[in-house]
Amino acid sequence: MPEALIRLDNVQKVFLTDEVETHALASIHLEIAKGEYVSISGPSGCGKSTLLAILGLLDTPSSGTYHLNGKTVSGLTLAERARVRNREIGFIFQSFNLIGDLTVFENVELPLTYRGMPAKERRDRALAALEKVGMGHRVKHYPAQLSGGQQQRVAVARALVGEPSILLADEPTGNLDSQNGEQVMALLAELHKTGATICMVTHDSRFAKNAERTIHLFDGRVVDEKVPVLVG
Amino acid sequence: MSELRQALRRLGRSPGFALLAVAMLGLGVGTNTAVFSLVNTLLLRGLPVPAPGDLLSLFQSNPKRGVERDVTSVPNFRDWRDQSTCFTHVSAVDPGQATLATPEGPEVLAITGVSASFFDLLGVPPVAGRGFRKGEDEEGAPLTAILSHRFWQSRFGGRPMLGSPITLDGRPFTVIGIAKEGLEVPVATDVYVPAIYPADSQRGALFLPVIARLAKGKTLADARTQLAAIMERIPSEKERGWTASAVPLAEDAVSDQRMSLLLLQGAVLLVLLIVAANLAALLLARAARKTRDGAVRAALGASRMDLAAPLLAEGVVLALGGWLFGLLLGRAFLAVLLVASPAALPAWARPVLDGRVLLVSLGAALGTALLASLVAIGQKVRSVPIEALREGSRATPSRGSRRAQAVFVVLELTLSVALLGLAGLTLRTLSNLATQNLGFESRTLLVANLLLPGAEFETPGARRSAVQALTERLSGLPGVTSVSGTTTLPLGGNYNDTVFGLEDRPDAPATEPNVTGVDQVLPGYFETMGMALREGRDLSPRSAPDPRASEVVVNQAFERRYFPGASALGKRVFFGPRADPRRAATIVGVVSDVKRESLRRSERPQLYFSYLDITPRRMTFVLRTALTPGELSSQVRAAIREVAPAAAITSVTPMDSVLGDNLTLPRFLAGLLTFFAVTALVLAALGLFGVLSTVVAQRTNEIGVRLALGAKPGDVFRLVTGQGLGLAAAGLALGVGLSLGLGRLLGGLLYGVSATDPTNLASVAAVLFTVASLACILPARRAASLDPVAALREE
Ligand SMILES: Nc1ncnc2c1ncn2[C@@H]1O[C@H](COP(=O)(O)OP(=O)(O)OP(=O)(O)O)[C@@H](O)[C@H]1O
Ligand SMILES: [Mg+2]
Repeated sequence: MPEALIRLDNVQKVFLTDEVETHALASIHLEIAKGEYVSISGPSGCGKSTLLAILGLLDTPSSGTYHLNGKTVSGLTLAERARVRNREIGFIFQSFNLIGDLTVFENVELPLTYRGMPAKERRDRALAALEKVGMGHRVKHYPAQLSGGQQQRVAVARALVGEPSILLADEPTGNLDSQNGEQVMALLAELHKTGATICMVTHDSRFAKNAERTIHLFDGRVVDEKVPVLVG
Repeated sequence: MSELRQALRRLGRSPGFALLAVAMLGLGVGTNTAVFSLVNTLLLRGLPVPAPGDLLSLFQSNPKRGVERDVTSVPNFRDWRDQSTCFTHVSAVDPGQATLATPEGPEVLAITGVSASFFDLLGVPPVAGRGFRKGEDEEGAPLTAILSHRFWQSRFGGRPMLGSPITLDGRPFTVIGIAKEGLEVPVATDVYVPAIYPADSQRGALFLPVIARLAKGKTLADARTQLAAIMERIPSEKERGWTASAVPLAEDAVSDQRMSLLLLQGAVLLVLLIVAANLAALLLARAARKTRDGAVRAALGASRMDLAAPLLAEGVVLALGGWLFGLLLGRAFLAVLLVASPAALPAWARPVLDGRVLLVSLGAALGTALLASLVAIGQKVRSVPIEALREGSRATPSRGSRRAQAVFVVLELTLSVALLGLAGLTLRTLSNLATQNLGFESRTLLVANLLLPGAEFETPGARRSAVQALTERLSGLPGVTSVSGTTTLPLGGNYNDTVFGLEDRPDAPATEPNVTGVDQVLPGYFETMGMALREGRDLSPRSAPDPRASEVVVNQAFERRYFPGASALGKRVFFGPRADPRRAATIVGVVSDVKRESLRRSERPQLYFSYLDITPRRMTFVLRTALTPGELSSQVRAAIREVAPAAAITSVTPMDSVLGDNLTLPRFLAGLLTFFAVTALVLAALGLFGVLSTVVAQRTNEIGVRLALGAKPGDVFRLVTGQGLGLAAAGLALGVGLSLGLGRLLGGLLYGVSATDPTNLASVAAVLFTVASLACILPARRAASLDPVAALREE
């Protein structure tokens, strides 16, 4: 059996605030294979975003191990973690999080800039990514000049421009109306078809069924994993 | 009113902001109050006499000889006084020194010889006794004296003195009055005596300062015309090209300080502007945090005035707080200033916080605070409600207000760079003045000023032998390597001129008096001073004058001026008003030039005679020491008292402290400007720090995004410092431009450095970037250490 792209063993996350311990994640075991499309769902506060932050190396588990591409990530320095985030991971946020002072193009180019890539190559890649999400015609716009759906498509382009191993999306449709939401989901489905690995948090069962596998979290635990029945 | 009370309550709820704002305003208002009270005292209120604008200083000039302005002679003074109709009074003001006989031995005083009309002219009668009466300033009148209030208090403890005798220079005077406290116009003095001159005084002997009061209805122009006309009627003066004119005495009295004061006032206005910009940035940041509140209120139907009123009220409250704090600071600054540099101001100028100063400082506080409030109001009213409400849910917030804050910080940096530039120039000037080559070696030199008063030193012979005995005794002191003396020490504040002629010289004919500096020195003077003998020899050491073999040494300036390209050795110089050929001296040596009249001016042609030839009643001994000169002064005093108990010691000080006295004003200017520049820089750095902190706070989410996209902490650190240093670079570029422009105004205040001096600009840049980097570090570190998850959650 090939090594999983992501493997969490007994991962826990405990937040300490004012003497109160919050067990956001309790003993998570999880494997995600390359090319998989996984959705995570569960009630509010069950630890979905926390899990995603750990997967994205934005946060560290309180205990347990995390293997990414077969390598454990626990010993990495801040700079090495930044490097892994930059190369291996693409983020899509609920509130888009485009940088207001930068144009659409500059937003998409940004991860490549942190990689120290030459300008010409950055440009080609960013434009290609924007084409892929259908935003090639808005490169000079500022985020404030775009609709929410358009902003989120730019955010998708920014997430995939660096050709990461995995796209992490935290409720990408949460701030969108259903029509725009469906467009973004269609885009993700398309990306998946061309081989992208996706891990997406969503409340919305309509969108969860796009995924090959849904992980249910409850109170920081995986309570149920199911493979949706393919409607045939 | 209720708006003000509410504003006070709101400010009370953010005490940090309120205190910072009041402190900044106080600093700006305080510096302005201190400097403006100087400007008010010296330039606006003027001399402490009734109608000070009517007082004039009269002088004579000779455009043909390049003499712009000179004091006058006794005969000219008499002609001006007797023939003019423009003046109510004309008075001589002849400052000098005299010795007061005391039981402890002679004491040196500052005395001023004045005409009988002097106190009427000033319009300030003595507070006790009476002023001088008509005729008391004529030969043969009984000798009377009026004490200055200060001297009366310090010397006589304020005890009744009217009618008491005092002995000045061995002659008995009767005290007839006590001058008003703080009069000190036009010069500070201990005692006023009538100025009495012999009937046959020479027209060529220029030594007398003269003041006058304009009569009712007469103008400065009238006075000038009339003085010129009077000179036209004096054949000898007309023939030699002399004319006369007048300037307001007030202008004259502050001519040294005027430029410096205006410059300082300009500097503190810039500081105030920086405070305004800083406050505006602070208010903007505060308003930005409440954009949504404002937008919600606007959406609920608040008018622009409704939105502006609270901000205006806060501005007024802050201004009042800043004003009160500023007055306290201003008083403190002023006190420090007067203690640190008492000699920088004329003695009559005692700055106080009068009504005008209070009003101006209130105006400064209100103006600054309201200017800043208006900026914040403009920003608030302009932000369209919909956008403000939408902001935050979309891209990162409020670029507009951040840009406005950046503009203010650049303005602050620009102004502080300009001030730093000016301060740098004045510091360089001070250092150039202090470390320049003076033409003599001052470091191990001790100077002892003596007067030889009274009957004991009546004859030249008595003075000669006293000086000789003193020289011998002082030479024998341990630690003294050589001793000599002069009548006018370089930079000591005394200069004598003489008229002379040269044989066979059309440009300086023997028949025509020419004026040059003159000094009487003891043997070995040049060597003791460390001056270089360029040609010939020193004056020969003799014990008595030899009128048939009179010798003179000239300086290089004299040789350059009268014998360009040739040697002056062996040439003959004639003296006396008509260049009497029987009173001639042969040039036996040429010495190097020294700084004599001022640290800035290069020396005029100068003649050095032997003290034997003239033997005035004053002598300054110069002692070259192997020890620190100050350590010897008490032994020198003791030795002088032992050898010549009747001599009066004016002072015994190291030459370096004489030089220090010449640096009072440049030091005052450089010190204050540096203080203001540093204040400005600190304020600007605070502003930069504030803006960057706001930026980091506002961009927390963005920084989280960048971290998620793979930015390393170093990238984020550079992002913030880059922005800060970018602002600094903009401020530097603009500030250097401004500094170059302002530097041109300094002109005459600078010495040995130009406004475009690259070293100065480089130092300013270095200082600015160091301080700007410090201001960047904290916000940048905070940004770089943000937790990405928390940052992303931030909206
Ligand atoms: N920094 C933190 N400090 C303390 N508690 C935290 C912190 N971050 C998250 N938590 C807690 O951990 C738990 C899981 O939070 P998380 O954000 O992962 O929930 P979620 O499943 O994403 O919820 P939602 O669907 O509302 O976004 C919650 O109880 C939350 O209060
Ligand atoms: Mg969440």
